Amino acid sequence: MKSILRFVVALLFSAPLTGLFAQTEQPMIGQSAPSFKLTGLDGKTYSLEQFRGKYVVIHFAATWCPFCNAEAPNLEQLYKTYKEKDVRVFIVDVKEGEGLVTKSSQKFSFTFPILLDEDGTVSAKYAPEGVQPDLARDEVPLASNLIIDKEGKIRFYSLLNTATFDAKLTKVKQRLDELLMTP
Amino acid sequence: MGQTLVTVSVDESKIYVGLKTIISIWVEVKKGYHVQANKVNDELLVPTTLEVNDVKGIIISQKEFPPGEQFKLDGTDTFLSVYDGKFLIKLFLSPVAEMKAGNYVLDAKLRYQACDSRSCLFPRVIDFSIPVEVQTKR
Repeated sequence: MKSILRFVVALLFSAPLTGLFAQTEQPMIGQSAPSFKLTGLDGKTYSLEQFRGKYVVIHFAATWCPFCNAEAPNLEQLYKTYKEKDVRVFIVDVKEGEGLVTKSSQKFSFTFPILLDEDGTVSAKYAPEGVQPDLARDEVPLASNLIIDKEGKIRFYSLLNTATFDAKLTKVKQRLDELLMTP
Repeated sequence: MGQTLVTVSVDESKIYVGLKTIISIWVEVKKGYHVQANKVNDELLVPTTLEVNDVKGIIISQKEFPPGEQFKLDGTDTFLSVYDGKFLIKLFLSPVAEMKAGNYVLDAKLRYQACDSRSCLFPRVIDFSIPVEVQTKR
């Protein structure tokens, strides 16, 4: 009887903790980043595959997204700091037209490519399974940051629902530094 | 797909020929969420707006939104002007002198963009109706 009681108590305590860990864990780590081919505001076509051998930072954004806009100047700064270190930075803008995105890009003076995911297909591919099931899949990755390694594997994913908002990109830079130091 | 974050209700209203009457449109935002206010401090944000289709003979003279509340984005110096909980939009209507008494319906759209403290959702539109009873005498 005592052992059953102990088991029930252990279950009661472990269930919320398991939930907590699941919530703070980054999703899709170690998985291959879904491939994509998108057109940039500069008219060029970009695919993830063409950047094999480099680290890629992707930020999913929309012009109306306050989190994205608060982060924008720091993303440009990150790009400038890391561009000589084999790191590429992209914004994937989700479900907006070129005109609006151009206006936003000019406001923040981005000097890295802004890719247009006009129908949200790419964003939906990056929505981790089972996360925020109430939302449309292309809505889930909004405002998140990813680091994809030289082999195309996801090494960092700060999905806002599972991470504290990090406008200064402290954790992205920290993870990039760790990865760049790894031989 | 999607949760119901915002609901709209309209108080039943009588409006009088030749007089300006206020119609109360109540908007309720799900707990934990906020929507951008009607006046935003960044042109890229999507403000809450109300669009009302014309009905011949009913003049829409004004839409009055409440002032927004300040919401600070964690870890930044950014403040947003937002609405949360329940708020009131006042719509000022006045039927012209020739308007006949009776029941009329104005079609309306509320556009908003909602966030909580950790994520933001695509802008959404709610279609709803504003029923009014036009009276010729008060």
